[in-house]
Amino acid sequence: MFFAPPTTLHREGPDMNWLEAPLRAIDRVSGVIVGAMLVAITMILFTNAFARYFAGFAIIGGEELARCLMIWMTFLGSYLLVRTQSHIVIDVFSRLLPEQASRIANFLICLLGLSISIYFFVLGYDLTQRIFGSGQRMSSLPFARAWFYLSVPVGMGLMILAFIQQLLSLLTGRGLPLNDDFIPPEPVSVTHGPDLEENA
Amino acid sequence: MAASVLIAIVTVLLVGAVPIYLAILAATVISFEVFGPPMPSVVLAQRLVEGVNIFSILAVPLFVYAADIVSRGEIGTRLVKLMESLVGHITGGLAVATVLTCALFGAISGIGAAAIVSIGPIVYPSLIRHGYSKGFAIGLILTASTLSMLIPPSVAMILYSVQVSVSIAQVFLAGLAAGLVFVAALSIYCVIYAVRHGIGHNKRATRSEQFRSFRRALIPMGLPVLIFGGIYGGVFTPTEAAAAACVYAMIVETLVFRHLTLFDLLKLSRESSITIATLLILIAAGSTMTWFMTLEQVPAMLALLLGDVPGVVVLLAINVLVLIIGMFIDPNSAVIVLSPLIAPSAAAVGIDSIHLGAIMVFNLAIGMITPPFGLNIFIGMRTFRASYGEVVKNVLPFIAIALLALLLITYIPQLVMWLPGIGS
Repeated sequence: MFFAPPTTLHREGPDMNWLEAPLRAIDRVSGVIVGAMLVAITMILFTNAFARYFAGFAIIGGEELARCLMIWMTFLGSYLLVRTQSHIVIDVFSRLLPEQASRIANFLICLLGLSISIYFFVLGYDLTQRIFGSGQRMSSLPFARAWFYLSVPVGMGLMILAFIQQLLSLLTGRGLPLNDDFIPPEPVSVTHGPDLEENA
Repeated sequence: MAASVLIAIVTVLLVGAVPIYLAILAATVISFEVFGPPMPSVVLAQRLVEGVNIFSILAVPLFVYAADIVSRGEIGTRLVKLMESLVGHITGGLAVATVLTCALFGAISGIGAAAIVSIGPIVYPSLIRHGYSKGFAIGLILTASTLSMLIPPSVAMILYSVQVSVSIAQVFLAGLAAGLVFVAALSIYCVIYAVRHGIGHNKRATRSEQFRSFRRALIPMGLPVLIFGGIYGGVFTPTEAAAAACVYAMIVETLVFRHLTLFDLLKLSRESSITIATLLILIAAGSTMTWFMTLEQVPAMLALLLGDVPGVVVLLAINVLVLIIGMFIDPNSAVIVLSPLIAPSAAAVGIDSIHLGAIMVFNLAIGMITPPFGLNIFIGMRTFRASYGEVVKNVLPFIAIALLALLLITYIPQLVMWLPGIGS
């Protein structure tokens, strides 16, 4: 899957404002976190499947933990995608727009993104608080069920910051970095080791 | 009313280049707040989470990750050598071997573009050397790569199964059958092309050469065996099979072939997880929209509307609709958004949901190679350093073949359904 591989999360560019520096730090941290989550999901489910089949036991709560991690990946990853303009988008028509119109369109899109993020931040915050308050636990793990829902206010909160940064950047006349969503940033290099024959 | 407003808003936003997840969420929120039932809005946030709180969806990140590992590694080369030694001696053999390698690669990878970068650069020079034109080689590789979407494991098929609530194992089998039809169609075309252009063939590989390439392909072949054997032998759920495939690919590429380092894997995990998030957020947003549509009884109304239309016409309409949408939207997003709307109506006129899965994914696979926006076209331009026009022109005959195969699997359901029939 190559349509959105932001290989460089920390673009250099003229769009520096007071929000950009802290956001870059967050980018770095959350990039590592989502990657670690993917590896963790893989290992948990792998261990579970094999343990169940060969040793007749399963890690209790492994399945639920994997789901929880996936939910966090969704919203943290979504923040990173906003940062790099890498969400899936149909841009066949917008490519036809002249420069000035496309700046206005970008501004409106960021504004829409900001509003929807605020909407879900508020709802998600509300939901998380309610569920924390109700004292519900996960069905197989000794943690509060609210951890599932906390991902929404956290992810949406970060997206709010990302959209504000982009709006500021557009307002001060600096453009958004254009990440050509459907073309890989660079050809994936397919190298074949010289040791092809040796390790047959 | 609410539904038509919602669809209108989504369409306007999509055309205006609003990211798909945002367009769906915005339209749902507006429709819900204006026309929705008197419910606290907090249910929307809850739907957003519950949409990705599903065990079978875990197969999506895992198969994407596995495909990412495999396509950077060495597995492709070994599969090519195997197929070349098996069918290289017939007329058009090298082209047929390309198709078969892509099919085999499809049994490892679940997304329709990975084969271009991992098989393409290996077979392309060799096809040119044997006298195939540059255009034919590009068209063939880009088209055969879409087999990964049909042949299980397939991310699009998993998404379809989750959205429509049918068995992933059954939809996989339907996809496999459809993939075999497509393999046959492509292979026949390759042979005809080679005969008409007087392209020679290799010497038949000796038994020992065949054995040698088979032995070298043994480790990569363990992947499909693990995935298929695991799922259909009742050892794994598809999700667990995906996790096992990831770990197998990690071990093979780092420890056995030593093609990737542990650090590469970690770097890859970050890239993959960000790619995966594009799908997960769409699933979450899509489930919010589907929830609202179902609340407004849209699928039921659509089904009622189509009640008297013969199945043949509905199938044609579905094909045209999905094909056109597939030209503009990437396949996985299209499955997430469309299948909950289409499947109930199709079921109402007697179209089997498993069969429908194969048809929809086939359509979207064709969308990968159709202009203006097929992803494979762009990846092909990069990989083979060709211009947009050049690629599009050469992919056209293959689109015709694909449409022919699509017609076959649409109107002769037995071509697809015999395999799930055995499996059940």
